[in-house]
Amino acid sequence: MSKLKYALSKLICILIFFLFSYNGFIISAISICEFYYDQKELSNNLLYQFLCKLSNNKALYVLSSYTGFDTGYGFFAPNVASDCVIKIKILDKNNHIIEEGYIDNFIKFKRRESYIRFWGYTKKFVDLLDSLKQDSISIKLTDIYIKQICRCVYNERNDTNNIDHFESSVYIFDYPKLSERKYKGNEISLYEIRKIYVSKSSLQKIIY
Amino acid sequence: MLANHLYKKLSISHSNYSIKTAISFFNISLNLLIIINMLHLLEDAKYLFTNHSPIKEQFLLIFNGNKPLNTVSHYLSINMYDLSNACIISIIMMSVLSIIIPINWKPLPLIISFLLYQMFVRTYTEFYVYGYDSYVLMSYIYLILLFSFKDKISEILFFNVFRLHVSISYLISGLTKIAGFNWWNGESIWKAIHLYYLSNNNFWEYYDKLPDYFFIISGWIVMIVQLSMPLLLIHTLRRYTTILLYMNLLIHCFIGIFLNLPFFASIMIIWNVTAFYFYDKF
Repeated sequence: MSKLKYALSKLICILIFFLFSYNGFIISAISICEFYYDQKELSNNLLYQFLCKLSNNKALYVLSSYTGFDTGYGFFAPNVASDCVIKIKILDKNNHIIEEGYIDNFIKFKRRESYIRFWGYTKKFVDLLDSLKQDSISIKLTDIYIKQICRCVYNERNDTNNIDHFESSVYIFDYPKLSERKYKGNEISLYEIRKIYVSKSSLQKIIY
Repeated sequence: MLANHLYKKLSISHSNYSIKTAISFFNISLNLLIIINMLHLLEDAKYLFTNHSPIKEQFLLIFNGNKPLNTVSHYLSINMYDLSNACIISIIMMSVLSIIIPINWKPLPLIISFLLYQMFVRTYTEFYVYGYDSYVLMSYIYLILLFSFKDKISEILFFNVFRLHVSISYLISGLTKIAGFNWWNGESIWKAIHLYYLSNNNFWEYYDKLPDYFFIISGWIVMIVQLSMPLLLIHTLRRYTTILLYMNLLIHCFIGIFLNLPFFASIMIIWNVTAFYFYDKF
């Protein structure tokens, strides 16, 4: 019995070791490849395609995501990703602004950690800057995301009769670099990457 | 000199500690952290993890692409909105139980809270989840394994795998950092403390007074410490490498203060301390 138990514990150890090293090395290798090379160059690269195939393995994905072993370990590496900010303008029929501001002012959580959880996905909007990905599915996903947020804002408001449409845009939040800070100071610049208009009628169609 | 002095001080206090102390420290500190985090999330959880969240559950299927949706509640089709407070309170109760009850019974509340955490908090793969959650799940698994296989050999096996995990994760992190050129000139540290959501903007005005080389040196310190973390595994070098552990703990303290990631920083501190502070020759 004790021999069997020992064998079992050895097997589990090997499995755990395999899971964390597999996920850690593959995710960081892919992120390094994507940081240094263009998507066009990578599409011909056999090694990169092999890594992507490995990371898309369904069985390993399910196993590692249910046990939590699916994290990569490149904390803020190879480069710190930019934050994306969403700005919303609420407009009436004559295009007068009823209210405008960052999304934080409209969707209110009590704790700071909830905002971090909520904004985790917005980092993916940076992908829209890649010209090859612009026609693909990521634009549609961004639009769905923004529409959902607009619906959420719309449902929480009391003055729904005045509202005609939402004008919402995604910006990249850019603080001056360390080398630029001497002549730029603290001037924050926002680069627009996507802008859509969401009408009131389209929001009312969504039932839930 | 300093490392030698520290080692002499520590080795006296460490001689009586064993692997059991490390495991009990891991159990107690992790469960306390989870209790604090759950109380922290109690009010917002309804609007994050249920169908009342800004992005509906139905749409998450689209975002997930080809990968299967990682939610138990989706398969069981339970509306978690009514159950959210019950879930959080039961996770807290299970954490309290796993601290209090005797060792033979400890796997049971840990398994229950693992399942609840998986079902309620970490429901979706890419939404409302960050690194902290997967670290919590992994530590649940390690704790369940360590408490259920009680003989000494398998305990040592699991504990050594855990230490390998900690050191290899830092090695990977250091390697990816050194591959990016922005870590070499301090730009990455500068950017990380000036992010919109992640950074603590109360300190932004004070950073301007610091010189450039401060950020360059701190970036290099982070890289060197993370790359040399595997050296902590070698017992003969121990007297020179204890300083690494303290440096790493200091880095995580700074992450907790200057970035908005206090829970992530504290779980990493717990992992480091359990893996390398209670050191003994196995």
